[in-house]
Amino acid sequence: MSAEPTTPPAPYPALLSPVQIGPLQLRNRVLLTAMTTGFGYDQGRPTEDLTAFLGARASEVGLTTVAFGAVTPEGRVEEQIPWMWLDDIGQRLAAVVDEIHAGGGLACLQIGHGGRQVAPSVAGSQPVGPSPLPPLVHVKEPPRELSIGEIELIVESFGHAAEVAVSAGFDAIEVHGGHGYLIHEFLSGDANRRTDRYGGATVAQRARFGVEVVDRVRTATPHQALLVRINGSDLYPQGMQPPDAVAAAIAFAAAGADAVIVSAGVYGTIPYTIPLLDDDEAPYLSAAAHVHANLDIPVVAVSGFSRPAVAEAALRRGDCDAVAIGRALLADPHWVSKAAAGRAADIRPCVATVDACAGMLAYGEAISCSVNPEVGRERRAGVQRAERSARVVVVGLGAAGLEAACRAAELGHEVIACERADTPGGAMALAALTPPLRRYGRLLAWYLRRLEQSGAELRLGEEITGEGIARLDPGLVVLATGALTEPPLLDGYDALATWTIEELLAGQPSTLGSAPAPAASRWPVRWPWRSAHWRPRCCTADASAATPAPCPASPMSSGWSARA
Amino acid sequence: MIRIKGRPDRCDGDGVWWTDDAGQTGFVAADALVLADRRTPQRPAGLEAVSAEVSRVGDARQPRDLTAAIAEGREAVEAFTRTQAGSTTTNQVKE
Repeated sequence: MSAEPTTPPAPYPALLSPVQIGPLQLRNRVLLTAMTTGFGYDQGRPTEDLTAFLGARASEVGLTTVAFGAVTPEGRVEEQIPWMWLDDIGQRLAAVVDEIHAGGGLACLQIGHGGRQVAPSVAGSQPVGPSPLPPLVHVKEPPRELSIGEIELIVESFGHAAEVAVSAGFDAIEVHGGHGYLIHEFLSGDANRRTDRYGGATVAQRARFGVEVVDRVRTATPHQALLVRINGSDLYPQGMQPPDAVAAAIAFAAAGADAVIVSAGVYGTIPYTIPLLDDDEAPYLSAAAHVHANLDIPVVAVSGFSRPAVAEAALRRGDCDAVAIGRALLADPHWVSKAAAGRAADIRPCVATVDACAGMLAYGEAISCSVNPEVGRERRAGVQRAERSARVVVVGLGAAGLEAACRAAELGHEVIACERADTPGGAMALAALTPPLRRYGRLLAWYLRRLEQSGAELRLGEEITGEGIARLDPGLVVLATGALTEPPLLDGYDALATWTIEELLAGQPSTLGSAPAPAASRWPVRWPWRSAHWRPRCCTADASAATPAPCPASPMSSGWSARA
Repeated sequence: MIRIKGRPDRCDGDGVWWTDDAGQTGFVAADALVLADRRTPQRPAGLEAVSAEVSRVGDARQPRDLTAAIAEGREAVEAFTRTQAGSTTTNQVKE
């Protein structure tokens, strides 16, 4: 008796199922989160670079968000964002919306005011805030306390920005109420010491400004979805804690929000706010789950999602209703379609170094992506497959050589990829052995899979010389032979166990002295600098912890104590 | 953690002798020494025998980071391919 043929189950059924947010049905539960880019604007007006950047990602996700339309000039957190007070900004944003719609996507505009975190060099004026208290870092100058009249004007500016967004064709609006920006500052007892109607002892009282904003934006957007971004935790003891986030979310839901996006952190907690390569995936999911458990509108979790399986598990557990993803969609714009096709292993993995993305913003430069150099160059004409195949010899298969070999084969060249070690990977493979850089192992696995699919000829364990290369008669030679530590000539290597970093990580005997191969157990699994990135317990969403645990010493502690 | 800005002078069975940037010498007790500085590009011998176009990429050009390595590896073959196609938009990466 033969078994009935069965259809394999669709991958990621929760992640790829539609979700309703207000009047809007998203085709799947993946949102392209708002990311400032450091490029794509000319004096506050989006350019074709931004349109192409978003268009390359919009055709697969459920909702594509344009980052941080500043509602007033003094609310600009960066130069390269929409300036919502410009007369023609709606018309210029409409081109972006059209591109998103052309790919079958839905468009969202995030609007916000940077408050006390706006650098005077950007806004050209003294920052403003609920109270004259400077932020933890970034801006030393205390903000000017906003008057009641000014607050009312800012509320109206949010409404105007929303009306412009509607005229541009956006399907959804996201009000930024997190990350230490103005709405969040009013929510936070650490930033808001007002005694008038915009202050108070409780989050519900301090939510008044945000509630007025949400109410005004709701009025301006009767047929659009309205999302509000909040912090699930500020990630420092005096800031908002998970129970505060619930109170804020309830207040915004009552004011008309269709969904909340739960993020975390302020500028002063950047080492925690943006999960790095040594962090677990989606480290703030518990904060989103805490809000989700106490709210009856959809909750979107954001920050640090990299793999579809992690997002799927979060949705199945009921931690959230959707996920917002940024860096993983920089690394691979086809994240969703590959997941849907059961090809998650083909997704180019984000390794969360932030060297090329968020790290560049700190220098006021345009972002790209460490693993995907095409980010920011979407308008550039793609390289066509070679008309005449050439023989390309790639020598060395670390990150540079693997990328060169794979890309050359994909462009139609005959590729001979040589590596003198028995396994590819070079410094990337060694780095992946260390706990902080373990994500490099995912990238290496992805490269090996890509290399296998490319059809390149692989020659491992062969030291190749110039003469050997010449005998292969190549059209192009890519030398990706890496670098090695050049030890200084010192006396005493024999007396002290001494290795180069390459020897240590590869578990090889010392070539400098007589030290044997290092035992794995002697490797420093607790990295000293890890303490700088250690996430305090007080920042987790433990609903039972009514009183936050005291925060341990950290690089931020001096800033905290100065404000305590 | 002890951080020293300087260079090691010698080591013995108990640790490492240093000279810091101010010229002061000192001693740091240690059970082992790991050298991770002064990374030097590696190049195969006999390259003069190669008549084809040669692109050095990543750490082989200059030790840097993952971002530079991947970008240069990709650009090297794309620039070569554009040249083959006769494109005038080539932005070749070579030394």
